[in-house]
Amino acid sequence: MLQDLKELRSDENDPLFDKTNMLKKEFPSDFRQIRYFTLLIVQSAPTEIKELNILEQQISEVIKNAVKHGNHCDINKKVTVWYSFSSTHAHIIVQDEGEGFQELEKWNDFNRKRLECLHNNDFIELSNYVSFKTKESDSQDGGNALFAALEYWNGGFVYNGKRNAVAMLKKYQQKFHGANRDGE
Amino acid sequence: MELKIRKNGDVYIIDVTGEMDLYNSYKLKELVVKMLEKNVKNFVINLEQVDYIDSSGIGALIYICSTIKKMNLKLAISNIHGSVKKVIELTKLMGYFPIANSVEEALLMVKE
Amino acid sequence: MDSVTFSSRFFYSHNTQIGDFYKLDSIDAFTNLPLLITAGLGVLLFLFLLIIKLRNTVKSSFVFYLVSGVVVAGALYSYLTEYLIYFIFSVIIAEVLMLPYLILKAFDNPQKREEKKAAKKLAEQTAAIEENEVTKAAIAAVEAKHQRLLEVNKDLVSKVSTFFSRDNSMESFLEYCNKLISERVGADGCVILLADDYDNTLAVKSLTGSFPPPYKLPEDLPHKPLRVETNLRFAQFPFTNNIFGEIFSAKEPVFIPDSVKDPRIFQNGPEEFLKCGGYIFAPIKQQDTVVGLVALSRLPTKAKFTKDDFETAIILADAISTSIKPLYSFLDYAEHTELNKDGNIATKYQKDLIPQKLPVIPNISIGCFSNAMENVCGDYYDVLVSRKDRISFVMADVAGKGMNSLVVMIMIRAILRLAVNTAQSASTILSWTNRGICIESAKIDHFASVALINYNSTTNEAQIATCGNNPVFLYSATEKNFKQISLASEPMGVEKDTQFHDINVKLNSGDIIVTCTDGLLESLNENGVQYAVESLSKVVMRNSQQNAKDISARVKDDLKRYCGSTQQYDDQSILVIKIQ
Repeated sequence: MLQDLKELRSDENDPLFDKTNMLKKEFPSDFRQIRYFTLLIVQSAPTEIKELNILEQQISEVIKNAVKHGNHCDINKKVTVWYSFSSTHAHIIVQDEGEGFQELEKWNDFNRKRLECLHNNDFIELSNYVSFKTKESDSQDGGNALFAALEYWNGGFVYNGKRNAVAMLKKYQQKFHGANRDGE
Repeated sequence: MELKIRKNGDVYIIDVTGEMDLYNSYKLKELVVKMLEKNVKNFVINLEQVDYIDSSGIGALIYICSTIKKMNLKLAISNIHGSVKKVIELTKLMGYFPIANSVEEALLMVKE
Repeated sequence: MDSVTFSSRFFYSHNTQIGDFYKLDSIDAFTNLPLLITAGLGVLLFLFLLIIKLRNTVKSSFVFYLVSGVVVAGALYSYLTEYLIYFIFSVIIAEVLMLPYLILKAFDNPQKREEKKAAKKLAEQTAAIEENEVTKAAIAAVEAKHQRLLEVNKDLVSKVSTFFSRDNSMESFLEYCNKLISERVGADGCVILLADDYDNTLAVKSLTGSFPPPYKLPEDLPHKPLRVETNLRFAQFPFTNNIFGEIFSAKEPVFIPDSVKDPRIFQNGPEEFLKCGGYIFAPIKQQDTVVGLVALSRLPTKAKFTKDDFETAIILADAISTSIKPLYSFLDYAEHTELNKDGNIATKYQKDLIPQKLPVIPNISIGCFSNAMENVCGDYYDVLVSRKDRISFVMADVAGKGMNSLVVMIMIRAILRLAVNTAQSASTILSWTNRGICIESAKIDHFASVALINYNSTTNEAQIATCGNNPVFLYSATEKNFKQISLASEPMGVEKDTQFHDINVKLNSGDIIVTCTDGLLESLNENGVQYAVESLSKVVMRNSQQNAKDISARVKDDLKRYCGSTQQYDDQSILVIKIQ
């Protein structure tokens, strides 16, 4: 199961694209409002979710990709977000009006090489693989958001067929020390 | 985000406060570039007061780290915690960045 | 032998000389019969002895059997061989056999025998008691150990509650346990690791003394004592592929008195301080789950750990396991309360920010309602009467929740209340408010949607400026339509120099201005369909003849009916202004 997470997939029919019982919001592609949009989504998440900060940051990355790389910050283009939260999960779908993530395969190759360097503890070679840039990237782009996303969204991270929408699921564990398990 | 500089011997410590996000991470990059132009050779970036970082912030740190390495100068990043630590772990860059657990340890690392 | 021969023999012996009677090696007829009788009687005696033995009436010695047997045998043999001597010999033998037995019986001291018996019994008993003693000692030793365990447990459990009120209570408590167990076991170094609640890693929580790392140090770590120690102090280990993780997953204590040949221990080198000596690992459990690990070390230069040390360590790890549970429960509770406290305080104050009573203004009626959801920052609305030509209506929605949003709401409210008293336009007032909250330090989220309607009762005009998602609608009595008159705009708090726009409308009698928050329009029914403008428009148009108060009540009812019991995620607020 862990193995498929190391790679970006594109699957139109993945169950993560099922929008039943999800709330929806639409935003104009305004770069300056990315954190605001994220906040509007995350404010409905229950307070029990641990590390809300990280969840917020991960969602903002996906929305940023949609606004900046998908819709090219065109204020007339929309970003649609479907979302659903509980104390044990966070399920998000983000869709833009762009042509889709063209370099998906290139990204997978790049990531594979990156993981190899990590596996071999080769930090010198790794420095060539810390940041994924395309001709569209600028100096503000970190180029590392998707590396973190694949690790974070442990329930799946998948693009649709056209690659202009991405669905992701985070599953939260019960606390480890079993103090909450007394009821079992 | 606010940036403050202090000195310890010939080591410059940059204390970052606030959030390193897509709107302001470039400021840290610019500051370090300026300091490099002024021939600063030893850097400690103290992230104790930073409670949020995103891919742009990580990107800024990567840029700073690689530039300093290329110039054969010294850098240590100290006091990462909470979500900042988590994001660096998610990007698997814990081994790539020269990370110290405290400013004191960072100073030791840089002075070696 | 026929009867003739027999009787002749019998009678013949009568005729022998008396002297023959004394011939020891021959039998005369006279003694034939008595011999047989002797044998017969002997057999009878034997039988009776048997019966006695069987019925156990009297103690009969083996000697009697022997004697009667010998006599019987002698008699028979004598009869058969016709030599009396055999019988004589058998009697002698019998008598000889009887002698020792009778001597013993003659000089027997029954008391002494009893004493001897008693002494033997006593010896046996003493031996048994001694054995008992040894077992008792062993039991006592185990009991003493358990007593110690109980003491330690009691100690720790009462100690743990003193940590509740401190910051970092878990770390401090583990520091205390670390020192305790190090001391009792006489370890040179001790590490306590706990499993992280949400990752699958074991993190070091407490480290004292010298603990040579039994795992491979990272390549780039200089082998200096301070660096190695810091590395361990902040280390995290996955549950597999390293010594801590494996022992943790195996759930059993591990005793490694000498790590020299042990394949589990990785010997770093070549520095002296890295040399591994002995290790003890004891798991910390919560019911059946292992939640952590205690690891103790002895330097190779010191005496090795003993089995006793190992057992003490296990006992103490058990004690830690017991006493840590209340701390976990407490921390869980505290965190849960903390999370909700923030929101609860904010909600309480937010309720006080909205007007309790709407002012009565001639020629217009006002109606409003606000359904607050838990967990989200509330909506804020206001009616500010500055002067005849300036009555300001505000509908605001701060993003986020908790104390953070409360602070932003208070700032917006304060600036608006001040600024509306000036002659500035609605858009300018919004820009000032926007600048005010943008300038505030970037530490807090500061986004809000605000709709500001300045109504001039003298000219019957309204000037409207909005930022964010709160729409303003106008129902025109003359045109009998309901449409949005506000423009979409970015919210407050994005950039300090944002410009906002005024929209001016002329109002006539019967016109209705409606402003609400997006929470209301996005309310869901059980099918997940939003309430949307269409539903709102229907209700307003249907009730356009009513006054504002009634109209807003109708909307409230309609919304309630629409949503049913479906869970909502945002506050629903509406402000209705009708020109009479």
